Amino acid sequence: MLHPRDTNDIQEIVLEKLAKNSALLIQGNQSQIDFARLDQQNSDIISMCDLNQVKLYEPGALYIVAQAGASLSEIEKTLDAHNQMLAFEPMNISQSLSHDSEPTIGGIVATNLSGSRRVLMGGCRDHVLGVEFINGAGEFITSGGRVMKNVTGLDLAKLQCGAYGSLGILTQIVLKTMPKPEVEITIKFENRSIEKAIEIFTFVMGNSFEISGAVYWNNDVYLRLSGFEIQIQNRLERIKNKMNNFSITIIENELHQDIWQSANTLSYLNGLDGDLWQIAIKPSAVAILSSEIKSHFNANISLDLAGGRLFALIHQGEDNNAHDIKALSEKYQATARLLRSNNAQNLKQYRFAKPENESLKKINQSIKKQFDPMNIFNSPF
Amino acid sequence: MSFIQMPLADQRILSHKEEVIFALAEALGIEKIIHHPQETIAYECDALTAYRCPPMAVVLCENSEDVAKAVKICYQFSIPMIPRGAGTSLSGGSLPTQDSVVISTARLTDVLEIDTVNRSIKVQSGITNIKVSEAVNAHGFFYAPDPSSQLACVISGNIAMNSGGAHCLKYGVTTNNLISVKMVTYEGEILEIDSALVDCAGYDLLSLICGSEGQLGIITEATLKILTLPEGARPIMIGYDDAEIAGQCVADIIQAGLLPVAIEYMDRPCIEVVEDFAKAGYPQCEALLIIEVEGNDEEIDFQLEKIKAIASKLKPVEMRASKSKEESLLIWKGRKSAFGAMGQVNDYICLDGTVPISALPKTLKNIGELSKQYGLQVANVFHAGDGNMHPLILYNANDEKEQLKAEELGAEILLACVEVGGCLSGEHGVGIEKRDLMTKQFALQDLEMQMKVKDVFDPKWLFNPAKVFPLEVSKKRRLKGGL
Repeated sequence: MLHPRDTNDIQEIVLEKLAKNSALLIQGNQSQIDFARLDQQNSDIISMCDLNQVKLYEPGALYIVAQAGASLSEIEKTLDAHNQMLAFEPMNISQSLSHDSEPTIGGIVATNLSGSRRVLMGGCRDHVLGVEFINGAGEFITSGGRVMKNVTGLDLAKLQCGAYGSLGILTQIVLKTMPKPEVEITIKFENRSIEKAIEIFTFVMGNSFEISGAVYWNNDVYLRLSGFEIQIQNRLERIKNKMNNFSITIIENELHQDIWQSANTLSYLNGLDGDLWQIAIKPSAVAILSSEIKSHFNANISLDLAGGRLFALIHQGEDNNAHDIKALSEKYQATARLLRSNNAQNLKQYRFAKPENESLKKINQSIKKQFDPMNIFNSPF
Repeated sequence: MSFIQMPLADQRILSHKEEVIFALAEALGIEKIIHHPQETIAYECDALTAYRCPPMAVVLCENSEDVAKAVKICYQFSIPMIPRGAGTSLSGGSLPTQDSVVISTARLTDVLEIDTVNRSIKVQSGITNIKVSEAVNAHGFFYAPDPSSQLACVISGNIAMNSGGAHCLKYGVTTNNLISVKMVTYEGEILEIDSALVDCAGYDLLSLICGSEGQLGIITEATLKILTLPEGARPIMIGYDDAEIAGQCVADIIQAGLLPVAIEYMDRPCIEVVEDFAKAGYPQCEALLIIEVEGNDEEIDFQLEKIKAIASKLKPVEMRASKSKEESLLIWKGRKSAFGAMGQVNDYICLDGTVPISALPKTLKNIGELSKQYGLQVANVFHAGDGNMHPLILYNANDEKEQLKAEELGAEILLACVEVGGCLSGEHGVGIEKRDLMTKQFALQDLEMQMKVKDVFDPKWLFNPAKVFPLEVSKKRRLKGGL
């Protein structure tokens, strides 16, 4: 395993691989998928763990600059000291994948993993202000910057979000930070069908409650309210008035935190084995997709982002689900990617959602070629 | 330094003008083609009026298929295409060249679908920004990006320049509010590109397209995110007698964890002109902050009290919260008409550099010093909450020497923004205006990487080719018709 200490080391490694025409696997802390297990066995692994510093943090200007190998907990600790946060609430699914290791910020950005707060604050890609990376020609490239508004040239920083390291080795990332809300509480609606859950989501998202989390699992709906005390009280009152036929429970403090911790670690799936899919979909189609999945498979379904994201855990013994999930997703104009599986072949094929349209496929492949002409990085295609 | 250059017209193209017009007319119908010099002159410039050049022809497209046909013909003849929405670009984004065809989205004005369950609206790209919000207001929603030119500017241009506006401090800019687009590619294919909202299949192409200044394809339709209207909103005006202290106040408010919807800044020269124009009741001071918060009355009062407490520590000369809806509207009318009002009393160059908020006081000081050094007045009116500066350099456009001086001062101010960790453009785009400064913010290999992305979408370099990248940097590609 290669352990570069700075960007010069990385450039040297890439140039050497280019000369030898061999491949590289980029690795953070292995908190997600063990890519090494999936890809070319003979390629070298480049570990980003030594590039792990927070380089600059300006709370007053709402941004933080960190090296790609910096751990999420280190960044969160730094922000916490100034009562700030990463507002896309990065997901940490390492435990649910039985890899009890700490995600790096590079891994989170490369896989565009955003949590429940995305429903209000936008996703990881919306919070990446700038990146530095080494492309497949060994060139050091910067894009974006440290400011929230920027239309100076093409935005290659957002392009790197969700590219799975296929367009270059991220070395440094600038992320937008946000002040933490003064107060947060959870509203729980117990024992609801998925259709009722969607009804609740549609109602609250269609009103100015500024819901910062809207999830559904094990037949319960959870909504998160964030803001100043006075805002929480007013909004809660309005929700109660308009939904007086629903019985609700208010959850605060540690219990409230546990709920969102579960939502963003998928810990409610711990101990359940099987293939885990993340499906991005229009909320209006999520109920029907859910019932179709259930009619095909023995599955555990949960929702996030007010129905904009469905997690389907297909229980073991249903190994041939990938083709069907793909087909169902297409039917409902949804996008599916596989987060976890025992089937390495499926994982390799579906961890990155690929476009179906031929022209889009061609554009994607051409972009990959421009950044990595010799195909030395993780290849999603 | 000299005036901004544009490439010389390709005589080969001009000699084929009749043939091209005939092909376009045959494909689209002659009524959609403008080619007489008396008419093409209406398209000679956008809002960067110092630079003008009528195009060879203009195509007024009525649907995506029209755009596709026009693009196919232009690609076949290797003619540069200039996408144009309402022509409100301040950076020369839709400035034509003599040998180009302008592809206009001005007739694509329909609302196609309102979907309140999925919180989106699908529109044709030539619809004005304000009409999008108006279309969903009755349902209790609005479209968040609100450029000051929102009465005139259209969605295709907003996407091209990743437009923001006063309220994007809270709600983000166009890229954060765009769900999908229909784009005509260089091959004349009409492509649906989605969805950056949750997860997209393949690379996040929308993030490239948004802010690409019409260099990757032509957007004909867009699906936009709509948000629920707040119960209410109210601004407070806070005046200081020192620009740097006002800058400090902005940083303090942000750091305190308050996140207003908008924090706008205006200096004395600007206040005076706007006051004459809009009678908005602005206090006379060196630096005015307009800060807006949202919620019901009780919530608004609570937040305004917190803001007042922070602002008071810095000894403002005046602090006045709006008391009514009418007063709020008037305050915003003044702010949004600032550019127009300034244009009535003086020629100006409007800059768009953006800096980290913590660097606002230093940058304001730099601008003041540079203004003195060049002997040209600079008025400041901008989005302080996100560091997006809009210094207006006042000059006499009929005096060539003074124009050159003003452009040089503009370049110096933008470089000062870059030096403190900022960028050349926050929301107006690079266009031609900042094109030649790109090498100051980016290394050549960075620009090369960006151009390689353009190569994918536009192998012959015909979509808005002389913009964004310095002419010398893009020369090989433009002259060879791609790499």
